[in-house]
Amino acid sequence: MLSIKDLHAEIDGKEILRGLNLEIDTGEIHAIMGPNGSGKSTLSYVLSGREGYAVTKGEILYKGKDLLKLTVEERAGEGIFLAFQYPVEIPGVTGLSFLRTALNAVKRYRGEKEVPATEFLKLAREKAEGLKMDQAMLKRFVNVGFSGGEKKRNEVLQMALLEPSLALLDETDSGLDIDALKLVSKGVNALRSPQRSALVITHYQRLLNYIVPDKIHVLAKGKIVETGGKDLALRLEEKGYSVLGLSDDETQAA
Amino acid sequence: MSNIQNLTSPIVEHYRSQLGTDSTSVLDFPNLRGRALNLLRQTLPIGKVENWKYTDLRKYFRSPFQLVCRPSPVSKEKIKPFMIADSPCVVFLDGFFFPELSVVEGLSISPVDEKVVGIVANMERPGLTALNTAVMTDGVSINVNGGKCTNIPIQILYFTTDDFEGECHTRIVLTVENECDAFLFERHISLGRAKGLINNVIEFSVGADASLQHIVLQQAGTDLHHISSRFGCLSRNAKVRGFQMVTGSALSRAETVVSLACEGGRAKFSGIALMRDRQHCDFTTDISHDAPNCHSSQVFKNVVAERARSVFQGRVYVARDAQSTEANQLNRNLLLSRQARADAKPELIIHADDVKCSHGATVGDLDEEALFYLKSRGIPADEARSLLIKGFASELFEEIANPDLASLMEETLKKWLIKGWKERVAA
Repeated sequence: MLSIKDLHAEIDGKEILRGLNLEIDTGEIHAIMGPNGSGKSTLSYVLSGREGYAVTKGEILYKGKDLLKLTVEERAGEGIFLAFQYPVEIPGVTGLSFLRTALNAVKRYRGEKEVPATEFLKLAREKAEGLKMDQAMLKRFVNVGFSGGEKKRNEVLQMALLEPSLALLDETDSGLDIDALKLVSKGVNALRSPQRSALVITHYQRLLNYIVPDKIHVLAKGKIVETGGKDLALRLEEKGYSVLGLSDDETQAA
Repeated sequence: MSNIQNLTSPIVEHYRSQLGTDSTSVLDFPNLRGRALNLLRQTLPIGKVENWKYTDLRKYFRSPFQLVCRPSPVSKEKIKPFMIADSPCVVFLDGFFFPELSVVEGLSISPVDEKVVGIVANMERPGLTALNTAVMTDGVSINVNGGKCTNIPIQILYFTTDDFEGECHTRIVLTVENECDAFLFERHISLGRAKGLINNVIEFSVGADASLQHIVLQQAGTDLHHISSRFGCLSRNAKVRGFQMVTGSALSRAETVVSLACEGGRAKFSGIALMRDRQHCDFTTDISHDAPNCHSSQVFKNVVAERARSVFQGRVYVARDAQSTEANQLNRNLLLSRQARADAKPELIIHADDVKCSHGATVGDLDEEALFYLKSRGIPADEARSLLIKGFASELFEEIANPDLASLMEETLKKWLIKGWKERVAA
């Protein structure tokens, strides 16, 4: 599904990723943990194609295609979905109109038929119900005045509608209480399938109790420094990043 | 001063010489016209006038067009697409009222006369109100004295006919009697190419416990100069709500001068201009709180593309006795190109001490974060931009209760956005 080789990326001339390697097979869920400033969010932005991030070396193959050649919207069309750490507020644009525009844009890209208005409404309601989102929220402006939990649920709702092949969850657990965390995790788990993969970026092991990954990587100073199974997360939770020889500063930054 | 006189004399002569030629107007009030003509020298904004600093008419008045003559009527079919069904409709062609094209049953409407013109409108104010009075093409007075038809608008449609070239100066006088509700919708359309000057004045008075909703859509031809001035006066507990959308004309100014003259008045004005090419749109407001316990609010937005330019001048005046005043004002500008430009000038003059006033102006580009967010959901860049512009504008449409008009505004916005795409694709 995703193959990253020797990835170097910088922003404003500052190198953040310094030779990152990562392979995610179809159907797998991987987690990336690491202290703040290690490059976790940069990785998610580089994968989704955000402007301002320059890849100076290395390659990313996604479903065998050169990902770096695709625009942001093409990547979304190809099935990459980034759940934002800080979802953006869009005044004046209602949730329904945003979701429908997005769904139809992706359908068009994939050569599928657009969804008629009534059918879309039914679909959106169904998915929202599963996330215990109030119908009224869909009529409100996107994320405007939403609580942290509501914003994250809104991200998962978009993901459920767009049915991505590769979901990138950037600190999806931040700002969530335990009930919201369970709901969001349930939404993510519902999308698990042999055809889909996910990359879960998180600070804390907590989320990984609910979204159980196949592999866990530790990112530090722009590189993967350790890879392991579920037990690696527990070890980190218990002893901190210092067991990997990372300085306290870096752990404290989290 | 003598300098300005030198400038204005030929202009005054230009207009004086055309008066008395029969076909340029149907209205006969020589005394009022004479008085107005004498005010041209001091009111035409061709010298240094602070209030007209950002909108320059000097170039136009160097070679002003001739006043237009009454055109032949166009067919009903031609204007039908612009009419809202089952609603009264007052039709003007090139500034002249055409009863045979209008639907005025049940409407109390008559030609304007010397008795009603200028009661609310102040022709001494710098601008084109004196000119409108002096060379008035035509005008009607509408009286709303009953019924609670708050959701069926009285439409006033101003058309310029094919190959319009000249000037027209139309006047509307609207009186909303005590405890009545009125809903007025004005729309400006060019049926073909149009050049010259449209100079409209509307003056309204809203009686005690009465209300007025006033919606304007200006889509006049993009070579025109379009000046519209609305003057209003509110009685006790009167309410006015206004919304304007401007997409037309090369240079436009939409001026609002309203007095909250008695206690309990409420005034809410909003507007949006969508501009591209070298279009220029000026929203100027002057709200006077002349009595206690009145509220006013203003939100004006501009979407400025290419080399266009927006102007907002918002003046709020609070008289010494106007205690417990609330006045809010906001101007937001979306600049879509590096050459686009926005000027904002709020002006608050407050003589009372118990007041809540606010004002704000913002100028910015589309939000990069929001653009990335939309694109990351698969929405192509152009569509994402359009969605954000729509969002910026449509917040104001929520004010419009009438569904026909709300969707007309949305359609107009959509067409404006699509036109932008097509031009970019072609370029």
